[in-house]
Amino acid sequence: MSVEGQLVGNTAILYIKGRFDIASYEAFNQAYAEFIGRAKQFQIDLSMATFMDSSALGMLLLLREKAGESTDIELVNANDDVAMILQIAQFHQLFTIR
Amino acid sequence: MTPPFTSLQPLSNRILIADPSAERFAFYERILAQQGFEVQHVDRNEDIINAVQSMPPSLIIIDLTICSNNRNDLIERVKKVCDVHSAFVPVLLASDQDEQTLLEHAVAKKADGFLQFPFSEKVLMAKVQSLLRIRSLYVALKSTSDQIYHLHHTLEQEHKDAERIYEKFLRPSSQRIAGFDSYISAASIFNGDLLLAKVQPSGDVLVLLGDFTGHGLSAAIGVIPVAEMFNGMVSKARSVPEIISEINTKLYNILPAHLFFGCAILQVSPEQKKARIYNCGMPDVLMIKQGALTRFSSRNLPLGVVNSKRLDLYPQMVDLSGDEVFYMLTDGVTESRNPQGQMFGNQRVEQALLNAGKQGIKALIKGVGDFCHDCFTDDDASIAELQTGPILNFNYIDSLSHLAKASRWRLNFRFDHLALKQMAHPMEGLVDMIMHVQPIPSHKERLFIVLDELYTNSLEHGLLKLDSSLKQGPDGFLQFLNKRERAISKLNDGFIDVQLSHEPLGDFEGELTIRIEDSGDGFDYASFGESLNPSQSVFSGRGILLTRSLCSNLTYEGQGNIVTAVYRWHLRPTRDPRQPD
Repeated sequence: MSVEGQLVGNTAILYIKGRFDIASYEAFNQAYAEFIGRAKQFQIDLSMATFMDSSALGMLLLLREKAGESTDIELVNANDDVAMILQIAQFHQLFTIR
Repeated sequence: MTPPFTSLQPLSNRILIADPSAERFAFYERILAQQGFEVQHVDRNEDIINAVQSMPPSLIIIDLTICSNNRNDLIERVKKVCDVHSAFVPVLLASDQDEQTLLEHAVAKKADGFLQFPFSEKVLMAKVQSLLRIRSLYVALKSTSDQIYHLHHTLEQEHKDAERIYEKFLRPSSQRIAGFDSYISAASIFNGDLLLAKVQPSGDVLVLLGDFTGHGLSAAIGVIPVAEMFNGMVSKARSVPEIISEINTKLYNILPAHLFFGCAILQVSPEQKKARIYNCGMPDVLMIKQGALTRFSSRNLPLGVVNSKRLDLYPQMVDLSGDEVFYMLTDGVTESRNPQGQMFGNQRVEQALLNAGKQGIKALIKGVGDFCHDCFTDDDASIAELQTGPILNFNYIDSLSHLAKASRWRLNFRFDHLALKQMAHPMEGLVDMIMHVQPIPSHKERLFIVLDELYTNSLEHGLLKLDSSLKQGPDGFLQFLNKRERAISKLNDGFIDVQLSHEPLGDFEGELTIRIEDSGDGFDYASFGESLNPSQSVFSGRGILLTRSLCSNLTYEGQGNIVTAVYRWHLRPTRDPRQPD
């Protein structure tokens, strides 16, 4: 599992690879930390994420809190299984899901 | 027909003299025996063949008087006998006729040289030795060619056997799929081209087209494990990234550094109306839709190059409406050359496909064939075509027919503290086991989520006695993680029991009751969770909410150390294409 970050204009893009669960906490935390305050928008690219559990949902909420209410967070390219988790958690109420 | 392989007899030093005159024979014998030759004599025409047959000489000298006047075939007959027994045996024709006559006879009777009486000892030896040198050259050449023939023959036999094995591996795997068409040139089989198409139990159609680097057997050998893994994992409803990384791991371990496997997987999901393209080092996958062509270039490393941990799979996604046609090709197609040396190239492929209409793949094959004057069959070229229309209307009956019907079964597991310490994801193995007993692949991920969340709760809160509210504080997650790690390392007793019992509700319908009991103290479930709103920004309790929404029932018992979840499933045997999902 790994997370890679990249700043494109005002948007910080985080690529999540592999299993997104409690074990990803440090990698995820490190990846977004450097963009807090610098990025106006976050885009979480889930196309390479193979799995996501409730801890990962928690981590997304954590990012939302750290980034602040005014920062838009987009979750993009989730595969079917990951999309199902997001749907069940009703995360479209909190994030933009594409 | 090529003659069968025979090991050649070692060169003898016997010379056969066929001459009616004993005087002449004495002359020959004197000279030749002195030079170390064994000399044999026959004085009648009829004895020549017998002598040759019983012990083939290295050279024969025949006197013209012994040959029948009206027949020219004596030497030819002698040679035919020699051919069976040994290699080329040169024949000298000797006579005291004038040179012109002798030459005519030698040519007519197909002798290899002639001796005109009278001749000196030196002339005789020069001719004999020169012919024997030619003979030994011939023998060496013949033995090499026999060996080559033998090896070639063995190799051909081995190829035939290997082809049969290949067929067995590749044939049943490419099941008939509506909308799927393919072309594989004969030459491509042993060049490591691989084309597989299979329907997943979920109804997704997967097409894999791959190409091993290099040529010949070393390239082809990798095809078998790849085909086996692909077929096995597709049947077990493994996801494409899982399949690719399994194949990568295997190839990374077995392939020498300079060999790798380029491969593209196209996944068409009728349920989601989406296509995903995983292109790992193959030529562009092409899509034609309403007269326009889209290219999906390679975004990933070919397989067998890096460790799977470093293999980032990047799929490209397309929403489908049923009027798309996908094409996958190996580089043999674009690299086909005409006699002038020009390559067929991307441009011509594009034109051929755009103008193909209903002809599809056949138009492309014809295009390449016309261009390079039927060179096509000599090249390793493979093409796959997949129309999305028929797949979006795919009938599930076919893919369900091999699924087991719902049955009654139970599985009980106890994980003790040692097992819990050592296993990172014990539920993964459990779900795999369930999939063997009751294959419900499309429910696999959901089942895993349910089991994993319940198990995590039992472990973290029951056995490790961690408090989720920790997560709320600043750096709460990190604190929680650290505590969790410490608690696991200190764990020296306790267990988690997982009991699964399944009841059928119909042929393809069932109810799985999951009961998980841990040896911990439990928690106050009465006051938990009822008021929790899914969209609230709380960092704990989400796992239970997630589980509850996937299960038809979720209850806690005892002190809260026993949880029972009921998971219902059913597979739809038929699918009405008109009904939106």
